[in-house]
Amino acid sequence: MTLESKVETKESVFVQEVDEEMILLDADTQEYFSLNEIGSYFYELLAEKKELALVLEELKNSFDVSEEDLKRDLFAFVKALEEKKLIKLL
Amino acid sequence: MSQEHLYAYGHRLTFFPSQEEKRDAIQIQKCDTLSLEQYSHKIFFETNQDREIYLCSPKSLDENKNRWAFVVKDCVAFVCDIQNKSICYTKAEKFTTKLMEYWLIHIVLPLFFTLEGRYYFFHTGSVVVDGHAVLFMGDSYAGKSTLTDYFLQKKHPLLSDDKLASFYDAQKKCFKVHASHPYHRPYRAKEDLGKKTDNFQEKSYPIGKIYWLQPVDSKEEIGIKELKGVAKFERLRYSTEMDIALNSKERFSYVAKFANSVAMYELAVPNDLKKLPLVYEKVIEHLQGEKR
Repeated sequence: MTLESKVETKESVFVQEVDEEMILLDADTQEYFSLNEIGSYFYELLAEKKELALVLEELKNSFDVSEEDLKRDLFAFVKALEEKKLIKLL
Repeated sequence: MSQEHLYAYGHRLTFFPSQEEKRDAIQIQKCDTLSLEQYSHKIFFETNQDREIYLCSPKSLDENKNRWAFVVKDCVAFVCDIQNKSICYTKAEKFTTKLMEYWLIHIVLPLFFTLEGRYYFFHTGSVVVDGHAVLFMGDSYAGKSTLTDYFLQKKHPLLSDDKLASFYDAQKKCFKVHASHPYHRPYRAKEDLGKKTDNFQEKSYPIGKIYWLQPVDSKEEIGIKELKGVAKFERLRYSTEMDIALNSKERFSYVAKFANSVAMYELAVPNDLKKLPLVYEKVIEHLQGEKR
């Protein structure tokens, strides 16, 4: 995974918010996943920006955290989503 | 149970032959010959009431949900036609009328309305308090039926002690539930509809509050705390009945919308039947307090 990597959200994954918390359903497996507030923000950016470099830029504007830490958190998040087959890494 | 007419989940059931034909009624008819040879698509469920049960259809349900059959092995088979609002049943060797009624009310009709996309079913006890439906959800043995029964003793009308049909009323812009059927079973028994209660009205009610029953040690306090977000969603999903992998997106969207619209509370219930009156008072006080 590099900053040039892009992600694609899966068509079978549906997203809903309940009381501002995000819940994902993978209709292929009928599994549900929940994301906390920060995870929800990361997921929304990934779905919108697709390219990790663009997501990181946005995160830098939103959090007062070092770029290195943000990059590490972003990559860990993408890896977790990919392992759960909720996104595809291109 | 009267074999001629029955109310269940917002509909009249008309058992043929009948003198009365009601619009929007579900017609139930006995068929002497019923071939399921063409019904090659099968979905097997977990054993229920020690019986093998399965759903079968001529086409996969993804292709056509209108016509399917529900089979209780060696007992009864129901062929359902959603479009024509009719259900035919045929007898097998262990058939009794009581068994047919039990399976019809408890499984076939909820499946019928779920596949029709008309209702979303929850496993919950429910009564009417001040014109609103109050729901009691929880794990097995959490005390749903016991608390529902206590509210009945206190003259609150019964809505359900098992499966409850919910729907969104677009006109009133709120979620409502239909009174399920007038049978109540505050005990555990197989294939038993339970006792008929007179305190039952064939109508729908807006949802007031939902309580998730959390059994606690008998010495602990009765407590109420609000559930939000994922915690609320998870409990509603857990309490979903007729959880079929069809229309997943629509059903997911429904529960999320439902969760965003209704208030849900965890109700800590001490493991002591003598405290039931106190639990009742606490819930009533909470409902009244929330109204002020």
